[in-house]
Amino acid sequence: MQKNSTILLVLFISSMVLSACGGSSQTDNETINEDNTTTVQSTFNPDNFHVGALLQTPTTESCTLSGGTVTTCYRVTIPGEPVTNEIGPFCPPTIYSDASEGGIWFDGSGEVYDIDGEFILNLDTLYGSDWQLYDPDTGLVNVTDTQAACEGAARPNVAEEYQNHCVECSLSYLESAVEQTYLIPVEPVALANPNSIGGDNLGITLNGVVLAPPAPVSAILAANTIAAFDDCGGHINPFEGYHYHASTGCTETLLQSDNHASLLGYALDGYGIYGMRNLAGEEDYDLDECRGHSDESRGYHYHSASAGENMFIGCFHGEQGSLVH
Amino acid sequence: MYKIIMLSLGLLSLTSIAHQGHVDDTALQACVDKTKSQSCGYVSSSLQLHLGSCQQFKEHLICVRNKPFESITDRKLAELRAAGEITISDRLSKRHAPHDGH
Repeated sequence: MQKNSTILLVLFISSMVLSACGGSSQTDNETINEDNTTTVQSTFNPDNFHVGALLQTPTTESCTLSGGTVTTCYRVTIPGEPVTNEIGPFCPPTIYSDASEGGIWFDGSGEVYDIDGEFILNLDTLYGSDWQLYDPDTGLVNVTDTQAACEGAARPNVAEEYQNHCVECSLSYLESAVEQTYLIPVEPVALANPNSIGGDNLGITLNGVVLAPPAPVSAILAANTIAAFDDCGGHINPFEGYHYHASTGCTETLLQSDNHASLLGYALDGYGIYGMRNLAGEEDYDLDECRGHSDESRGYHYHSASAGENMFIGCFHGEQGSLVH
Repeated sequence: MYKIIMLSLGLLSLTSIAHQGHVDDTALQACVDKTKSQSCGYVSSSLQLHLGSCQQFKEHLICVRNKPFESITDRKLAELRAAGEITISDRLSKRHAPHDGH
C-alpha cells in the first residue's frame, strides 16, 4: 500500500514538472500540444496503399537521411506500374484520331493538351513551322513504335531519324523489372531550410508508381519530339520504366473525411502529398515554397501543383530517404 | 535600294520567327536573374496569374506557384505588363487591353 502511494506520488510530481515546463507529449503520429489540442502527423502509412501497390509488407530498419540524421525507415518496394489502371494510350495513330486514342501533353506553360490528331496536325502553330509529326500523304503519325526507335528517341541527344516523332515506349523494352525499393522515414525530420529537388525521383504514389521531377520539356521539344504522357500524367522511358510527371487525378484516391484534398502518395521525406484542390474545388492560400503547410488533422503535408505546371512539389520540407535499388 | 534592303530584312525576320519555335518557358523566364526562394510571378498563355518563389530543379530555377490560380482580364494583363514585375507568356504578346470606349 505504501509502495503504491509512493509510485502515485512520483507520477503526480512528474506530471506537474512536465506541465510546468510547457512540454508536449507524443504518441504514434499524434502530438498533444500545450493547449490540449492534438496534431496528427501525416506520416507514411502502408495501410493507405492499394492492394498490390506494395510488393512486400514494409519492414523497418535503421537508415541515414539526406541530412545525416540516423533514424528508422520503412523499406518499401513498389511495382513501378499502376495497380489501379492500365498504362497508356500515349501517341494517337493518325491525324484523324480523337482524344481517346492518345494521351496528354504539358510543357510547363500551364496548359494541358489532349494529344489527338488535331493536336498533332497543329503542332507547327504551337512550336514552329519545322514541326511535322505525321506523313501528309497517309495521315499516319510518326510514332516510335519499336524498341530501337524508343531508345533512339527517349534520350538527351535524340537520333536524327527520330526527330519529328511522337515518342512512346513499352515496358516490355526494359531489360529488368521496374520495381523499385525506397527507404522512407517512419517519422519525418523537418529541415531548417528546404532541400531542392534534384534530378532523382521524389516520391511514390498509393498505386505503386514513382513520382518523377519535372519532365525535361525544353530538351524534348528541342528535338521536335513530344514525349507523350498518358491521361494519368505518366510515361515510360527505357531506363526508369513508367513514372508520373504530374497529377491529373488518377492517383488522388484516398478521400479525406473533412473536405480536404485526397491523398495521392508520399514524398521521400515521409510527408504526404495531396491533390491540389479540396473537394469544394478550392486551393489553399497558405502554402509555403515547397507547396506544403500544416493543419491539425494531418500536420505538415504537401499539395501537388497542376499538371500544366509539370511538377508535384517545389522542394523537400524534410530530410529525404533514399532509393535502395 | 533602301526598300529592297528593308524588304529583305523583313522576310529574314519572318523566316527566323517561323523556324525558331515557340517553346513557352515562362516559368523559367520568371526566375532569370533571381536567386532561390526569391518571389516570382508569371502569366500563362491561358491568362492565369502564377505567384510563388523560385526553386531549384537540377540546373534550372523554376517559378513554383504557392498561391491559388488567379484568372486575369486583358485589362489586368495590360497593368501587369506596364508594371514590368511579372513575366508574361510570349504567346500573349499580341493581346492588348480592351479599348476604354473613347
